[in-house]
Amino acid sequence: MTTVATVWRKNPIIAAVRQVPLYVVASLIAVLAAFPFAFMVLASFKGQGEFLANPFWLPQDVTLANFGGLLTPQFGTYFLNSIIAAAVTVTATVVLGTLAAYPLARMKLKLNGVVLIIFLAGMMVPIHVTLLPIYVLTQDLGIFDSLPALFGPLTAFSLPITIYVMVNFFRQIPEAIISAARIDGAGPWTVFRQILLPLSGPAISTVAIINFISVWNEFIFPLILLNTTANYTLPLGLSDFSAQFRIDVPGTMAALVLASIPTILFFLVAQEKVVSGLAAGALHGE
Amino acid sequence: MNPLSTVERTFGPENMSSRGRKPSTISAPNRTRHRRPVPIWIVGLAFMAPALLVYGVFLIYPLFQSVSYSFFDWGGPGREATNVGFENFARVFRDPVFYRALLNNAVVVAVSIFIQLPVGLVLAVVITSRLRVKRFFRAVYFLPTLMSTVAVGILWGFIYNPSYGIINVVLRALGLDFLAQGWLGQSSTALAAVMVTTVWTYAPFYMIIYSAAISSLPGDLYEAASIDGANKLQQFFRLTVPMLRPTIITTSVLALIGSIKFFDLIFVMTKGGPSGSTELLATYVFKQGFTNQQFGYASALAVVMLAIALVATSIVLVRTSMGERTPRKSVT
Amino acid sequence: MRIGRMGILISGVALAALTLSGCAPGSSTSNTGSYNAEEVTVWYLNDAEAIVQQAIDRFEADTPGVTVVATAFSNDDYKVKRQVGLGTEAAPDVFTSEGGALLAEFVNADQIIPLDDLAESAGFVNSIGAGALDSRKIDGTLWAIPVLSDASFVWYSKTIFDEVGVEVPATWEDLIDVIGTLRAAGYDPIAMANKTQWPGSHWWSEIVTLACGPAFLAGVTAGDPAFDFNDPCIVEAGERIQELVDAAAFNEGFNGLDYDSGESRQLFWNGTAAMNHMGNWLVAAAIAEAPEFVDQMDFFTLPAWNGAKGTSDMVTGGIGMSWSVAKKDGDSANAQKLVQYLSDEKTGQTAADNGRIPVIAGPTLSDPLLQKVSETVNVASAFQEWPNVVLNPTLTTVMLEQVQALFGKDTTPEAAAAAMQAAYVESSN
Repeated sequence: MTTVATVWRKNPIIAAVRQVPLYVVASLIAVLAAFPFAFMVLASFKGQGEFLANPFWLPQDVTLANFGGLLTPQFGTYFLNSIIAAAVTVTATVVLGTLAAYPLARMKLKLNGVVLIIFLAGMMVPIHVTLLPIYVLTQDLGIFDSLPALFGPLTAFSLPITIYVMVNFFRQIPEAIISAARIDGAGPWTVFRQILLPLSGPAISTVAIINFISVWNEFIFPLILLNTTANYTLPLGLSDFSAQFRIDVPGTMAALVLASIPTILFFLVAQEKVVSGLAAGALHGE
Repeated sequence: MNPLSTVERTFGPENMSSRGRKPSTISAPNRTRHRRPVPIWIVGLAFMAPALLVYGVFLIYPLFQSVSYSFFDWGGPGREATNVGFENFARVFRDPVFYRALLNNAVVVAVSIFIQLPVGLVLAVVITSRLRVKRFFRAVYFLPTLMSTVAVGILWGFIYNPSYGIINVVLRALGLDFLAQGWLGQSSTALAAVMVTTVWTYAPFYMIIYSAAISSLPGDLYEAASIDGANKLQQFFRLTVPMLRPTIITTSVLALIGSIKFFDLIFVMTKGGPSGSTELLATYVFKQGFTNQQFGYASALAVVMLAIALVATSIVLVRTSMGERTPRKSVT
Repeated sequence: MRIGRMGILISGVALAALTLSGCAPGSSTSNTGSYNAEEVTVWYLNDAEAIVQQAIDRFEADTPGVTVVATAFSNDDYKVKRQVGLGTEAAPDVFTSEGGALLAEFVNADQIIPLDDLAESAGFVNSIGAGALDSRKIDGTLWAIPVLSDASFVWYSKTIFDEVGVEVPATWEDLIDVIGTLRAAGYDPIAMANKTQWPGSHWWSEIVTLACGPAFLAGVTAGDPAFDFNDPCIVEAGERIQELVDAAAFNEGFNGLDYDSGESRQLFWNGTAAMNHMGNWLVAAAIAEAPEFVDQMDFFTLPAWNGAKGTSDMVTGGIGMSWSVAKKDGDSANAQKLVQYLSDEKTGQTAADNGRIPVIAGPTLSDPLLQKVSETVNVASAFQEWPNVVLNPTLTTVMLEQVQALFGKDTTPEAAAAAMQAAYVESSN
């Protein structure tokens, strides 16, 4: 039945026009979200003099000098340190967290309630509570002022969210598949390895990405546990840089741009997985 | 039937070592061997052990150590520590800065839950609407959360700069000179300024969660509602929001915890100043510990902070689960 | 079942907490390890790299087989790391401090060794001014070798002063007038970046010295129980600070700007601000960042007002960069030798060439501005050390906060004084 209402909805021109406000709103939001970023990128291509004269708009004289000045071995070291810290921590967290999530999600153990609470309560612990003891601990273990000092604490603090996501995900796997495997004689390790793991792709990538982002951006642990600049991770190096750069705003901006690239790349490549994983983790836990 | 023995029988020792072997299809009883089966809780523990070890050493143990520090007056490693019992805790409750920080944290919590979450929700609605190039917009919206907080802090420090920051320059260009001020330098505006940055940074994180939730809502309800004449706004408030209740609760808990622990942005942007207008519990703990070298007192503050987080979270969870009777959803 | 599990959990936690509460945090004094015969570690502030590096190079050339591992820190970072690091194995062999109460804390915690012998053998007792050396002595024992002296002044741009037609103020009242004229002419009279709070505290200490006389703050440093921050002269100092703020003397939003990233001196270099109250390292910064501006710079000391107890020729400052040797097991000879190189005449000369003022006799100051600074310091009727390096940490923090609040007009002079007094009383116990 063709009514005014249906015409209103189905006519392609009208349909397109109705979309306009949506696009306007969406674009406005995009501008708000991205303008600091744009500012950062634009400024990184300006010389200092030009920046002071023209802070926001497009650079008249595009210069790569700021980036050149950054591509020093030292900056490269910061990058490398961050990559190492992130790689080791994320791998450890994912492996340990996934292993632990299996019994917590699928085995009926009296232990489970307590252990789960202990892990999840960890999310509430502010890191500063543990800063000084960890400072002393890393010295006793002989790993102070070196990258390995970061591995333990960062992994420990990433475990709660990892376990939370993985447990929720594992719980969601249909009982039928697992029972079938058990009847066929599969032991727990086999169930874990042959059934749960292959299905866990999205959850694991989510957890990997969330942890990568938070470890990459971690500031306070490296601040306290690392002294020698050669061991600094990127955020720490940035902070140091901006103190060193003093009034060189474009220089600082270039450093910020370079520092943001890895996480952005990571996200662009793995967008879908992040979204579906976050969904799986956060939604099905109630 | 004793469930334990069924499990024991199923997870017998020969199956513990069946890595890589295809499960046999012979029926169960024929494969019983004579070794004692490994109890399930040992299996579970084995899986959990590595995680528990790392967690125990690097989180639980330092946590307990910190609690023990809070009973001392201690100037740092290499210095004498005097046992003062509960004096540090008494001092916390006498400390006006503590109450100021608590107030500021309350503001952060309020902004988080009542501004950040709704903004995230709005963003999610935009993302899940009939927009083309959704991926592009989603990536752009998520940019803020991807940057390191140090970078965000430095960047927004420039944006708020009284002389050449974007905000003041734009205000002056619009002829609104009188509004241009030292945003981060005045105790009246500093907290608000940092809150704007916070919402900018963290709302996208919630956007992702909400958009996933919205995508999984059944579309037929919306169809039915449209046919019944409900407009988009009504559909949003009467359908979307109620159906998102569990997600809203989860994100509220996350926001609550995050707000109580909030540190990085404030530390980089204002260090808790000026005049304590942006001092938070976490920055105060850091200040007392690492700047004033009062590690005992700082630990006491941290313990109180943890207690507050635990109590607040429990309250939220208890009150919300009282209204919830929905059983666990499971995908079949 | 639930209650049973929770009960176990809770009692477990309580038990653990109780057991641990009996354990005192580690305080064994020999935690710092021992000297390494082949390596000497050095920690210092990152604004002195050129000065330190040449000393290291000479030391290594003259001492084959020994390498120096140097770490430079940024200001805030350094204060944290040094304090925490000294009591542990990560402690450096040689490090700088700014003296005063900090040095006393290191001595009380038995973390450094006396350097009287070194001062004798290296001839420092003759070449370094008695005043500077004494400031590093506690109860007659020398604990650090001073290298640099700094003082703060009001720097101004001769160009702007000429253009607007103002003269260097001779009295405080004149200063307020100058501020008014400059502001009317469209300039920020005084550049300031007070996010990190110490620039404001330098103002405060000079104004307090003017208001209360030079001997006043010595009472705090000595821990005199009769000392009272509520004294009317301190309240008056607070009022003078707010007088400056009310006269619109400073640039917008100064309490949120960071000195280290140059946010105040930039205004000075680019002609937006006419004056800048800062230590004489500003000259070094000018040489590095805005060399064409150096010729336009000159300075005056903060003038006294009618009825002030202090005089305009007094100076506040500090002995910067003093070297101490950490106490460790073994032979400290290499560490002490490095200190010698780090404090000798050649180092002093490098400092002078880099725009700082050495305390050792001998180096020539080629820069006329620096010469003038040196003379002003020499003829000053009194030299007050900056409070944020002589007060104990807790009191310092409160003082910094209160002064920042005074500048931000978030508190009254009376309330600020009362808060400082409360902190003083609490920290003296």
